[in-house]
Amino acid sequence: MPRALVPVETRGVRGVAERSTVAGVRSASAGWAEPGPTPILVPVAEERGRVVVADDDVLLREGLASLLISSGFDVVGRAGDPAELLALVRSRRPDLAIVDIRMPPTRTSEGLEAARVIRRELPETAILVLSAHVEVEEATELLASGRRTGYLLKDRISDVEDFLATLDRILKGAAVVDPALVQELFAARRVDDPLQDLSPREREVLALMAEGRSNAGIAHQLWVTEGTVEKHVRSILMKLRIPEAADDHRRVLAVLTFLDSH
Amino acid sequence: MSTWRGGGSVGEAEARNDGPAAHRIAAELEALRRVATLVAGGPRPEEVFSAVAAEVGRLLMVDVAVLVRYDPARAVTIVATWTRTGAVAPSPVGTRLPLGWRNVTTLISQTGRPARIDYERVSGPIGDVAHDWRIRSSLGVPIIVEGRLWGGMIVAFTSAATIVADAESRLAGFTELVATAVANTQAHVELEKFAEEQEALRRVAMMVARAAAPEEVFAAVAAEEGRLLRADVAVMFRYDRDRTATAIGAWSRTDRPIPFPAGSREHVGGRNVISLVQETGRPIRIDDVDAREGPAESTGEGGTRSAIGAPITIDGRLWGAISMEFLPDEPPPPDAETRLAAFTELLATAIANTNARAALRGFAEEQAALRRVATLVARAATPKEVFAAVAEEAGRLLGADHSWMTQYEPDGASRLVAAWSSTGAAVPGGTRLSPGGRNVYTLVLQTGRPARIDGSTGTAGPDCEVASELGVRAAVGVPVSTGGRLWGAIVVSSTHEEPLPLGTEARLTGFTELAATAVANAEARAALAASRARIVAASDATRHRIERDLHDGAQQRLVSLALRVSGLKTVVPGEAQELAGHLDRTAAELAAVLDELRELARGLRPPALTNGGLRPAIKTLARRCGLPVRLDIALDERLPEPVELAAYFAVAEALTNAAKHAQAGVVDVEAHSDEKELHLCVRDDGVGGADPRRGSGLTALTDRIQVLGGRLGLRSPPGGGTALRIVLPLTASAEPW
Repeated sequence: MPRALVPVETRGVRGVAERSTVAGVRSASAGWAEPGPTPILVPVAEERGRVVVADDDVLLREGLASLLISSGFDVVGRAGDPAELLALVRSRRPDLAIVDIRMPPTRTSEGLEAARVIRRELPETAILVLSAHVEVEEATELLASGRRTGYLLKDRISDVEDFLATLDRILKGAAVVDPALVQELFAARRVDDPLQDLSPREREVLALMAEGRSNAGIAHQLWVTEGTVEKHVRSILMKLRIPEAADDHRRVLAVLTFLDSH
Repeated sequence: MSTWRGGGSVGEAEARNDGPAAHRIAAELEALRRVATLVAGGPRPEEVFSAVAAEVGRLLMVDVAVLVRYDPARAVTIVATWTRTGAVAPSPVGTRLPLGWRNVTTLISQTGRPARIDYERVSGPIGDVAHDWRIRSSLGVPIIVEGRLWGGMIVAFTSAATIVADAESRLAGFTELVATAVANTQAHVELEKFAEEQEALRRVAMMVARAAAPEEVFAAVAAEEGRLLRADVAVMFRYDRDRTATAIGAWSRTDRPIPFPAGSREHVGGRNVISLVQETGRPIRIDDVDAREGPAESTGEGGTRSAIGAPITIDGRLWGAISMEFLPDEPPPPDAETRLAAFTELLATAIANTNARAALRGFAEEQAALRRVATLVARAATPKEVFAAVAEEAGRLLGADHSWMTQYEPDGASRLVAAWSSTGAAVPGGTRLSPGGRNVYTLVLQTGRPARIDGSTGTAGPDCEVASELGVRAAVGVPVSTGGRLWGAIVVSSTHEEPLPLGTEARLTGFTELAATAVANAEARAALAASRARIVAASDATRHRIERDLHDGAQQRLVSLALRVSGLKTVVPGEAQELAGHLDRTAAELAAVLDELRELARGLRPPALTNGGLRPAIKTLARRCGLPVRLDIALDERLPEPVELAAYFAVAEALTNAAKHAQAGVVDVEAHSDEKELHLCVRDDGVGGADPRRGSGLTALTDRIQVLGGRLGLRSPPGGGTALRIVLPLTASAEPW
């Protein structure tokens, strides 16, 4: 199978190019891209990643699955409860498991528990947990369990471009935190607000760091150079007295923890 | 004095001559004068008697002279003796001998006139004494005091000599003197006795007047009467049922132990003062105490002891008796039992008054006790407090050793809900008393009526482990009913053998009614609390259901819908930009709706609380409230769901108010728990002046907190910020109390 070109980072920019890409994907048959005059980036089905989807709501599950399939992912299993999910993950060994946090039997946080199990048994599996509400405790717990972890509001899947790009990021090793959660953390008023020492730009950078973006990703988002971002990051970490993290994953955890405790 | 010459012209004839007759008369006159002088000096009668006996003996040159006194019981007492030889008289002063048979003393008592006898024909106990004295011939003359035969003067020869014929008349003068002396003394003594008696009565009356305890009065009476009559021991008895008598007051002139100390019970029967008084209802005298029969024996020492007794009649009923014992050498005076009876009549009045007063006092005490308990009920004290008060007040009022309140359980067992003991060592509350057996609480359960168990109704002691351990011998139980149903019982018990007074059941009635009211109140309050709790729980359940439906239903479907719209966008042909624009806006709308629904769901059932507990939930509230919030949350474990919900909504309400109204700069939220309670405090530094009555949020919160049995306090002085404090119990108690 020829190695497909997969976009490394998308900026979430909606545009004709993306759409045609999608269209190109949709028109491709399973497995191979047909070379043609115009295609630039031709993601191939099954090459974007093998995914198991777990949600007890059939409509949502199928909708998500078809979205994934039409976007070049290979949906290798659909589960309606944690047991099914674990069975599928163990047998099919997907690259990514998308898990609704609320599943039977109690419909509280079975999804988190399943994520823990998957992490223990198959730590290389990327996990994205979807929830109707985002809570910082859940986010930190998830992220602490390992890299390639995402925690998003369920609503996000309707913003297809972003959603798919996020999936790609996770598969590449990023940690992803829903911006709404970061917003909430930022919105908290504090006595002796430590964030007030930051410039507005620095605050923007911090927010993106909290979302799990890499420096490159932040640079793309803000239309600045990576070097500028690195400068901002160093300044922020120093002002907030957050130690430098070994990697982006640990960084996001550190930032989240900082924001949560202050 | 003129009559002493009566009897003949002996004196005149003799006086005309000098010589032995004149000498004799002179001696006589001299003797008489001596005695007269003595009498005039107001001596004790014993002195006069001794002097007369001596003078008479010498004058008539006899061998023996004896003065005796008669008493109403047909006996004489020797009051003076004289012997020519000075030898000790075989029968000393104080000897008492029954009259009868043939002897001078008896003849005098029968005829009231002088008598003389040869001793071959003397008989009877007096005759025996005469033989002891070796008397051969004797003469006796009566001593008349105030027209009544008081005693006799007897002279006798131990030799064969004959008493002179005019001895009677010669003795007359002396008998007159003796009579005068006796009369004086008697008058004196009577006066003294009267004064003493009055004084004693006065003392007793004062005790009664100052409402001394009956026991004090009885003991004092026994003492007064004993002293008056110069007894050795005096005891006041009350007759009880079953031919028993209880000593209720005792006195002893010496330190010797009293044979019947106050409180002791005796069986009535046999030949003794107490039994005879009860049989006859009249004063009794027994002179030979050691020959008494029956259990009421004295611990007398050697010598013949006398005993007297008199009845105490109250309201026409023989209530009790006073009994006295006298030492052998201090016998009771002849009319002692009659005097005693008179005194006891006065005493009966005093006792009747005392009884009335005691009854009144008892009634007043009862009312006071009931009022104390009623006050507790009225101010809605907890049932536990009321029951404890009922047990204590009833126990004290009735003088019980133990007092319990019990509640019946479905299997017929009883559970102690309150216990009081006069020693302070009460049985612990909650103790279970097994069902069945012969005990008052089971009897009350079976009959629904008051019940009692004591020695009089069968084997002494109720059939109950706890009661046996405590040594209970008598008990009374009364039912406590509420709403037409038998709820429990009040049981009072005593470790003494005697049964509890007959009126105990009736006196407990007031307490049972108060207890029943407390139970009814508590049950009503509990029912109210339960219904409020149900309402709160129902509303929580509804919210939960709505949130779940929202999540599983509308929210999921909207997400699917949004997905579909996004999918549609991809198939819109490039030219149909307007359509694409519409779809974009639709997608945006859907996203907005989803946001709103999410907020709605959060308000219904905060996810942070459900999944993480109070700490993350409060943190989220703090983040979102728009004010700086400082948190101090020391909660490690999850708490019961209703408690967490109440606490969460309390903090939410407080933060909302702080953000909206208080114009605060910062809010402090503090929460910690111990094993029993959660403590929460939300304080802001705003303008204060919050009014708890305005705003339904705080009212709903108060409901929720009260349902859980917690407390809420709001302090909001104007300009002083607002502080909301909440305490929530973590465990629900099983009983309403």
